[in-house]
Amino acid sequence: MIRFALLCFVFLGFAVTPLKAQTLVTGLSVERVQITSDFTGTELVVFGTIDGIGNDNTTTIADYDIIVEIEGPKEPGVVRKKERTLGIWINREGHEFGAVPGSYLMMTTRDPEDQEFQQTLSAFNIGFANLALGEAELDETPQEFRDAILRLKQTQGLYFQSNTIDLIGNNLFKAEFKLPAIVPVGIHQVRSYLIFENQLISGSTHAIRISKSGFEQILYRFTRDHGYIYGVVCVLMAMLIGWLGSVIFKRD
Amino acid sequence: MFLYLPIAELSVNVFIFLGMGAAVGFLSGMFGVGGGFLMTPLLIFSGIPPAVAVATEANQIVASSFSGALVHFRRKSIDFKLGTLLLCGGLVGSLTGVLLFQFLRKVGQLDLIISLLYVGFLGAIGSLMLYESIGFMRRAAKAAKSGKVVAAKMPGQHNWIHGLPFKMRFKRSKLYISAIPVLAIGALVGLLASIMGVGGGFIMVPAMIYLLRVPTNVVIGTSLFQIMFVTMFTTIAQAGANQTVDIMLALLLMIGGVVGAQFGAQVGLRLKGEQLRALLAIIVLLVCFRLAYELVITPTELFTLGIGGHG
Repeated sequence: MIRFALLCFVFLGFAVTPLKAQTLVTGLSVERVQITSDFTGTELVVFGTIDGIGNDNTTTIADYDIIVEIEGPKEPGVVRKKERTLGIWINREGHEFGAVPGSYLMMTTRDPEDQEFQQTLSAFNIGFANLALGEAELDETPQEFRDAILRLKQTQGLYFQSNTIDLIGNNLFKAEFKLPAIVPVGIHQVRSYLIFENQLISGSTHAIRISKSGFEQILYRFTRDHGYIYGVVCVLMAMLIGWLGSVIFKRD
Repeated sequence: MFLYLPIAELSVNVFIFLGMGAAVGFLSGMFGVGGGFLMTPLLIFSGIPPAVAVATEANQIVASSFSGALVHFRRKSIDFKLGTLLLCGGLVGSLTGVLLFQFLRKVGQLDLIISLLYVGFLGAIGSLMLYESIGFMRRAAKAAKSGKVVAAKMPGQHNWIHGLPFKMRFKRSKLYISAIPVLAIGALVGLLASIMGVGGGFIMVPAMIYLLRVPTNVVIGTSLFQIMFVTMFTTIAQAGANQTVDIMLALLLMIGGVVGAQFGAQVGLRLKGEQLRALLAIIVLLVCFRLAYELVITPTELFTLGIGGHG
């Protein structure tokens, strides 16, 4: 929300004092992703250009910093830490997080580890180090629990950040994201930022809907809304297969 | 070929899971056991969330036990009265198990309890079976030398079970015993079915033979009868209460299992009973050690992220 407000502020700022006339214009390779039974992940390309450069040949896209982030729907989570107790490893300490993004993919033109750039990222709450996870007790949640979420999600391919935005020619950029097979369903926010000398000068947002398609969607809704009836269907299916097995193979 | 599992929310290779169903089906056909106690750990090892593995396996056991029970129904080797009483206990146990499952999941100790139960039961049953079958093979070898025929060790005629009140007559089994141990065994098996994702035959069959003295010709049919209904109930309860039954995964396992069981049964006929039991005991102990090892070694990742939304 803060970021959205910032973006609004920037746009309003333009209207009042058009100091810099550059505007970030972006597009997506797909507007929605359907998860079908053969879904093994998909690619999502965010591409864009800067309106207002190129007329004067003084600057090119390479003079700017561009950031693109895709944030999945948030859900509450709990991180638990195992400790050796009586010889075996048992979950002991746990901390709750109120709003963990199901996925978070970010690409930049500049190295996110760069000291100066980190300040910019921090100012706009972008990147792993600044990601809001909704810690229940903000001051009391140890850093290692926060780090654990980032690490676990990265090994699943759900969290990713790198400086791999491609620049094409004087005024085109392309960020190729890989959405893993376990990408959470729901509305994902795609936010792009144009930074010049550590100042946000333009931004754009898109929403992309990731949903299970056809049969998968119907099945998923059915299991949530009519769990017991679904259970009966599972049992009937099992009986049918068991009966077929005994008929086909004559187990007597 | 990859298939997206709608409940486990994973994309898996179809052939791996068909193969797993077939391999466990083969073993269960060969040894005449349900195979749930092998399948559930296998599913967990292969990355299926334990909660989904347990509930889905209960669904698969419906198919295999229904298929088996049909055969015994035709042979009239089911004691319906005894089976129904075992079932009454089983339903209570299963319901308790589903609620306990929900609670353990909430406090983040479900995986631990599942592993501990497996290590305990597999370790105990595996060692007992191995000990007994080796002993039998030794006696058989000795007897072969001296030329005597060995009679299988017959369980004694009476034990403390026969002193309990509320006695009932079970005509098909030719028994007159108390209802209490029958209900208790049924309940224990139902509880295990819903927490461990097993049919529980590996507990119920020895308990019926050694504690209740049920004649061996009705033991298998009657236990299949109970397992079939308990796993049906467990499947429905897990689907309703925890939304953890994955119908696509269950389908893969059932198809693999039904086919594998046929070939296993043919191989099983060619092996001697005692050899079969020793072999099964070794497999059971291997799974047990694997699970115990996981509990004891320092994990590479100490942290886990549970989603608060569903427990």
